[in-house]
Amino acid sequence: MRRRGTIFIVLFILIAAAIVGASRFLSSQPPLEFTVAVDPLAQNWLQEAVNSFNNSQPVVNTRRIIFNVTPIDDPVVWQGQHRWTPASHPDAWLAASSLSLRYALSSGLSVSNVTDSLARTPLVWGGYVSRVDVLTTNGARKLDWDLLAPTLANNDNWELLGGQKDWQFVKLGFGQPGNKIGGLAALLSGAASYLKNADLSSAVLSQKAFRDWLLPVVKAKPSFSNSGITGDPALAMASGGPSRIEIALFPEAQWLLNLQGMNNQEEVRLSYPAYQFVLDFPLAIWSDTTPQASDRQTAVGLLNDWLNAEAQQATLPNYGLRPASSEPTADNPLFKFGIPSGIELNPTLGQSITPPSANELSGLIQWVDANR
Amino acid sequence: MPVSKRILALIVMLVAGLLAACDGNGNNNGVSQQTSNKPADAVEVTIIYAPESALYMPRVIQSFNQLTSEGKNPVTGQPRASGEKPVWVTDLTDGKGGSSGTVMQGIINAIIAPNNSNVAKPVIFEPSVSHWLALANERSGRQLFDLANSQPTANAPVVMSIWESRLQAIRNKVGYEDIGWEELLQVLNSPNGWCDYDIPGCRPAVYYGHTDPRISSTGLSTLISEFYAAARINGFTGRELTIDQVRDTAVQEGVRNIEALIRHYSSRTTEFKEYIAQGPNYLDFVALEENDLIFINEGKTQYKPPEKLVALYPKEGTFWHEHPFGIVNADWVTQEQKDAAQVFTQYILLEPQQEIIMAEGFRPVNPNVKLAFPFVPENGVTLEGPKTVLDVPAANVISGIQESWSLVKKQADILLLIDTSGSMQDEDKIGQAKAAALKFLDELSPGNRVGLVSFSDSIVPRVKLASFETVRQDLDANINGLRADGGTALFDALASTINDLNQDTASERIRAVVVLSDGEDTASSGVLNDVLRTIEASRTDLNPVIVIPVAYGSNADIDALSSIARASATTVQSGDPNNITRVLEIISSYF
Repeated sequence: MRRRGTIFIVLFILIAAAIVGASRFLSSQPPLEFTVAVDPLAQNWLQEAVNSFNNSQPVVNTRRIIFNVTPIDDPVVWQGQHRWTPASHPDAWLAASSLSLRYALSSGLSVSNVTDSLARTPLVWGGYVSRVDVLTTNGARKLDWDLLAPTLANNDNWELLGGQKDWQFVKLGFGQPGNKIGGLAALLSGAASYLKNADLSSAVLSQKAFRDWLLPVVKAKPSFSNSGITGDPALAMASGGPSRIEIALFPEAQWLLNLQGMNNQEEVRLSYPAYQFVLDFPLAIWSDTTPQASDRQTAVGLLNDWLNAEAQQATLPNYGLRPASSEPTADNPLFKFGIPSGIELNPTLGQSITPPSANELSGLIQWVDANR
Repeated sequence: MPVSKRILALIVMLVAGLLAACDGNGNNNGVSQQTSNKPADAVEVTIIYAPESALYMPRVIQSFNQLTSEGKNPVTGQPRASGEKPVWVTDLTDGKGGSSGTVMQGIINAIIAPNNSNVAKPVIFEPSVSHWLALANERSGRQLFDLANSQPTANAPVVMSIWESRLQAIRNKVGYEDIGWEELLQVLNSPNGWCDYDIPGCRPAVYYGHTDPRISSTGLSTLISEFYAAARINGFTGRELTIDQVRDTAVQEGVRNIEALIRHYSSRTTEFKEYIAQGPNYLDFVALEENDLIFINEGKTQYKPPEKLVALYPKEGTFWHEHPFGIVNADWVTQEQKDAAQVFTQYILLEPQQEIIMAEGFRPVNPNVKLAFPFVPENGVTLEGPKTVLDVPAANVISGIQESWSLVKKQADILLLIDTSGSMQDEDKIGQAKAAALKFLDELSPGNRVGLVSFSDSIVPRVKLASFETVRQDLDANINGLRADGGTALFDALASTINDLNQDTASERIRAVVVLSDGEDTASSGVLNDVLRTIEASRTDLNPVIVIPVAYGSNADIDALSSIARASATTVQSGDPNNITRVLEIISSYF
């Protein structure tokens, strides 16, 4: 009897050790690694979400998995400046815009949509109040393309516009369209405003009259090719104040993230443009028929579920982004801080732009780069 | 103990041992593996940064590497995830930084002339300003740097550092507050210089200084500003300077007029910081980064300024030096290193690092760090900073401005005065001095005029002041032929050479005597006061002769040379046989 009890205890300990050991062995195996590329606009949010995802010890086919985040600007992907190949590519891609996904597909990249939208951020006009007041005649007119482009065509010198002499020339800000999705979105907003038509699907953006209209605006922004502020013009505006950028059209998230710094320089006033291009942040997966495809499919599916979950969606406003299918509340510090400057929790966005063909847009980008 | 119990104990010990031996990370124990060393599997990121960044960069690198060695991701501060490679940053400058122009050329050389003596192969190049990244792309004919993604890390506008009393005098005269190049040029063109501005103890000459635009960021930005100013005077109303303006002879003449104010140049800001700190007698205004001005007003220079220097943010605009991290796109940088460089970029933008950077007088680029001390009026700066900036011209225009340098810079008449007394034989001082003098000549630009005089018991004019290109061989031969013997007629030699230079009263060149002496005067018929009177007489000229004494060796007459330097509003340079070549090399950059 006593002997049987001893055997039972020994067996129990052996089984427990086997279970624990197996568990430890599995977890000590190097995890399967996957890469998710992301536009810098959503990088910080995604990084935090991926950290928590990795810490949740997700498993695919008994192997632990982890995701690594790598930033890459949307336009760089579909213009082929950093070409993904079958041998070198991320497993998933959180683009800033479904426009990028569409253009990437048309350029031959093997990606397919997983989720239409994980976050949103619209375009917002803004500027330092002293400058906005001069342009809008103290708010009598709305800051938008139809005010700015004709004004700059007549004059780009503040003194002649009714501002102070030592402000010198008007300094506009938007990202480099060939590199930054925010800059590209700004161009589209301008094109739609010029054509007075949000549907750019058949627009001819090479027409001389349009480019003549756009040229003074392009000339009024810091050079794309040799200025150190083009990487993140919103940051430059916040850290350098109106001496560097006075008026800008940025994605809302960039305003919100830099608003405190800007307001430390001078109060900023914001408004939404009439022709709107909302960045919608779709998640895509690299599609191929390699042996890894199945594991990738499962892993990206798990990540997608994680990012869509309420917990992750709720953190988006902390990064200046709007959840995919709800609006931020005034509890969020960033949005709360932005409200006095003109940020709206539930804005009535202008007409939503349908983008033109990739070729049409590429031609415009090249023209802008050549002119600034 | 029964057998069964012994087996049981053994099994329990085995299981416990097994569990203890294998933790979730596959480590063999729970003891921290922390060391202060570079992890074996680290991705190495090498960096070369601008000299002024040496005020903070070594600390930032050290703290980054410390976190890496502790097994953490320096950006998150959390333990590295499984599979995450550590990143290690290596400072290629030994904590000193490197002149942006020199490093840029080294990176270009690494690609197009790899056997050149100046070759640099960093992963990150952090110049003071992105001009250099644009120039590197232009001159190499390839996209060595992605300008759109070269992240600024510390902001500093280029300012005119001017004595508060001088700035106030200008404001009083013009009757308004916003001052720029326009008003500075009015001082230059005023018939009696500062004496027209009610400056007590005034002098007609205006003293201005900036660094060499071929290698110094501040010098380059200042020269571009001068071209803007000269172009505006000539009717240019556009926002961005073009190559046509740069090549316009009237614009170049305008720049030459501004450069006529130059007392002397320098390759490094370091000299100017020490130089201007001595007071308004030395320089009236000098182009510096704002952080340099704060450095001086905080009393960190060797000399304490007698009054406050203030930042003049030129009303026409200036340039921000944003200290961008340029990640090099060349075959010596792997994608893994580029990714790792981004990690370090993120790290330096975090608030703790930005606070360190701000404490050294740079404006933070992270907008979450609110501008605070040392940005206070006591340090001569405003919280607002510049009201506007000048447009950065295209790379080919910047290149054109650099190429025009030899046409617009103030040329110099330099008399090299070398002590050949018997004591120069000790420790082979004469041999080292000859080598240094030859190196000095190597560094001079061809537009200068140079002469050579030696002295011992008597004064020996060896090469008459003439075009450097014409007399170069003669200078070399005479320097090589110098022999040490006899006494030291320092005072007579100085008085004589200063008088020689003073003969050409219409000269618009820098007029300088560089005197190298290793001992007390033993053979002059005159006395020190004669030399001082001669110097002081020249100081009333619009273009006075300057004397730059080099106290050579331990027996040099420091007191006499210091008096001479004070009279000339210069500083004594100290050299010995080990460093005399470097000392003369630095002095050569004044011209």
